[in-house]
Amino acid sequence: MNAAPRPFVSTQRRRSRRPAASSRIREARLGYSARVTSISSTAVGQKVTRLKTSRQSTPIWLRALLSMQRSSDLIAFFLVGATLTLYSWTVYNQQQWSQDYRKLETLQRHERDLTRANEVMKNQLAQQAESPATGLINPTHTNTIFLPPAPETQPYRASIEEISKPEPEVKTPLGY
Amino acid sequence: MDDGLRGLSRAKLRDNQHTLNQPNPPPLSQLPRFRLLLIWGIMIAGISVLSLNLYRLQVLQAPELEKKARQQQMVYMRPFVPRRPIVDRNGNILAVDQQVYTLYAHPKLFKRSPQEIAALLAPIINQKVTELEELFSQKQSGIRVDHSLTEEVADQIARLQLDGLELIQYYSRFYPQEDLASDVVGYVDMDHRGQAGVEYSQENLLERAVRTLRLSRAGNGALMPDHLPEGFLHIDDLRLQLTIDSRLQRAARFALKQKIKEFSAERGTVIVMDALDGSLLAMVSEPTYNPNRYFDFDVSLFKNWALADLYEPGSTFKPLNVAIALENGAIKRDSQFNDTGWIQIGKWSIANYDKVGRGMISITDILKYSSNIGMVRIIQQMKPDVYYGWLERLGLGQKLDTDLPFESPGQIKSQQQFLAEPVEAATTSFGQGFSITPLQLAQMYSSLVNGGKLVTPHVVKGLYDTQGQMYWRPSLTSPRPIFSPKTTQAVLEMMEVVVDEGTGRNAKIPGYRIAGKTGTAQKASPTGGYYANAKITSFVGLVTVDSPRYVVVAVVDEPKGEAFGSNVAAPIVKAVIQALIAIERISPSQPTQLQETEIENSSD
Repeated sequence: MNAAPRPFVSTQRRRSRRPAASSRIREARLGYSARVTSISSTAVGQKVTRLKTSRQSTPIWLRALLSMQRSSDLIAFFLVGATLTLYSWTVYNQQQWSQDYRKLETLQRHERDLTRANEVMKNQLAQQAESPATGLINPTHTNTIFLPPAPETQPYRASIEEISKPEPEVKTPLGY
Repeated sequence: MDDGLRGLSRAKLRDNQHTLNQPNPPPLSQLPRFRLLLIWGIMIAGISVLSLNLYRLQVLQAPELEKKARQQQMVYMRPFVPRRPIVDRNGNILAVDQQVYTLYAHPKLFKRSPQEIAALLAPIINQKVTELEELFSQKQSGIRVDHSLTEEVADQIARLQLDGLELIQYYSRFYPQEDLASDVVGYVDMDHRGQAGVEYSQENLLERAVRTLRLSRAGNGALMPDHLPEGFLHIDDLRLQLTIDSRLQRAARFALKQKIKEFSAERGTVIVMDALDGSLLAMVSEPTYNPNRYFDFDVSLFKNWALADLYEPGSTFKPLNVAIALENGAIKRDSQFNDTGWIQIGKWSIANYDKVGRGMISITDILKYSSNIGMVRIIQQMKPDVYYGWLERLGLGQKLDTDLPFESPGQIKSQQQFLAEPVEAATTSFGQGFSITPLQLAQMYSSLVNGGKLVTPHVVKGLYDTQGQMYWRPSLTSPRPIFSPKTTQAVLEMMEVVVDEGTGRNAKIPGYRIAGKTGTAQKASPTGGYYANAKITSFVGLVTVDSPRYVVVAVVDEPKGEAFGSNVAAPIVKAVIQALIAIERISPSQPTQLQETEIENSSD
């Protein structure tokens, strides 16, 4: 297809150099161009009518084929597009995954570091607290406030039952 | 132009038609065909060259190239699959895995002078420059410079970007609480295998399967997810939870250490057990070791002597004998016995520790004064074979089936030996002539606390995830009933008198009803007989009489000087019970008594 205009240019250049041969060249050019492109100023009228008849008589199978071609072109275009998108998506996804994986690794490492630091600190504090110089004392019963369990009073009937039913002494220790 | 074209056609085209047409000027219509063919030829040549190359790469050299690519892209990775952490019952971490590095140097690969590298490296790994220089001059490669480097240090070294230094990653177990619970937790060796404690006995619960993965790697070294096995990232977050309470453990260790130092004792142990299910809240042995540096300690420390070594319990066994006799119906709660101070059984004479006879005394007084003769009288109310049967039911001479390793079964004479000599039953009545472990003593006392059932002492609570959801729990043998609640309550009340008025006064805590019993026994020598000066002092405290739940046992081996269960072990138990009261929030049973002591304290 692209070959058609090229000789056109080269023949024109040749004509300017060799005027004597110009007529023959024109013949050749006309003949050539007519053969290639089917466009000739003298034959325009005839061709138009013939084209019309040919279009009318385009067979149905050809039209079907043409439309099939057009639709398959479309499908192919979309498929190519989809393939490219999919491919780029997988590549991107892999990159994203490895980035996220690296992030996970650093987070896990931070978790380990924090756990470790936290526990080491706990141990150090507990060891320091054991020396009397810190002024810290262990919780014992003497420095603990014990609250007796609140009697289970029912607010509405309290006044009636208060006298008849004294609260039984609760012996169960708080802790259990 | 024509000449040029002809020249071209001669050179490139081998079309006979063209050469025939040469004498005449070539037809113009054929001129572009040369070019077409020329371009066509170039392209075809290009394509064929490319195809040939493709053939060479894809077919001829394919296996070799594929191998090369695999080598570059595939990375065999052993991902960090840590051993499961061990936590105490409050979630404090007792053991956890960490990533550490070993640093190797290969001086033959150094791109800079060893002096320079030593100068750069020394401050990071806290070593002297001269020492490093000397180290680098020893060998050409494979010099182990340092080990157990943390991830931060490894990062700093990697950032130096020095050739000839190599960091090898491995996993090590870290025990942040150091020696706090080493007797229970144990340690792992260089190969990451448990060697003692729970690390050893629960290996299958702690180990996660480590798979070697084949992953592909992108050009920049990043990992690609295309060959990942399923579940690659989903490591369970289960942790092995123990029943141990770190705070109580710390309090027990502190109290025990002080007394061991005060009496220059050989060793000691404290056990706190929840008698309802047999879970151990604290288990301390002294001396102990730091599992982070286990290699610096003596091998004998790695076994927990609270369950690995036997001793004769002595007087601490008396309340159990009283319970046996009561349950058996051999004695009544208000029975009285004649304490003569000493008696002769066969060729053996048996005496009280103070050689003093107290006349007719009650069972409570027998326990209060820890009268050996009174105990012999009580046991004499039973037939020896019945008594032996009871001792067997108590579990003497058997293993506990606890979840800690290296447990010893107790020792008791065979039935034949026991029945042959009447003195056997007599000595057993005050806790001599047989041996048990301190843990067994705690277990037997648990039956007095929980209404007469023998529970299995254990430290493993189960596998829990970080949200506290339980995934696995050990199946424990169901408690074996041996005493009736009536008997146990009677013995508890007798033991309360021991703490209130008797030998256990040092364990008295105002406001609380605590039952207890001291024990001071001569130490049996392995060759038979007893050591002259070596004693084992012990104390058992039961908390509390009105709402019994906890057993606290303290045993101190070979304290020097004026040492008895009452002044060595009882104060330890008192300190531990005080901590237990605060931790478990046990409310006082006699609040008035508590207020009185507070007033006394404040007026001081």
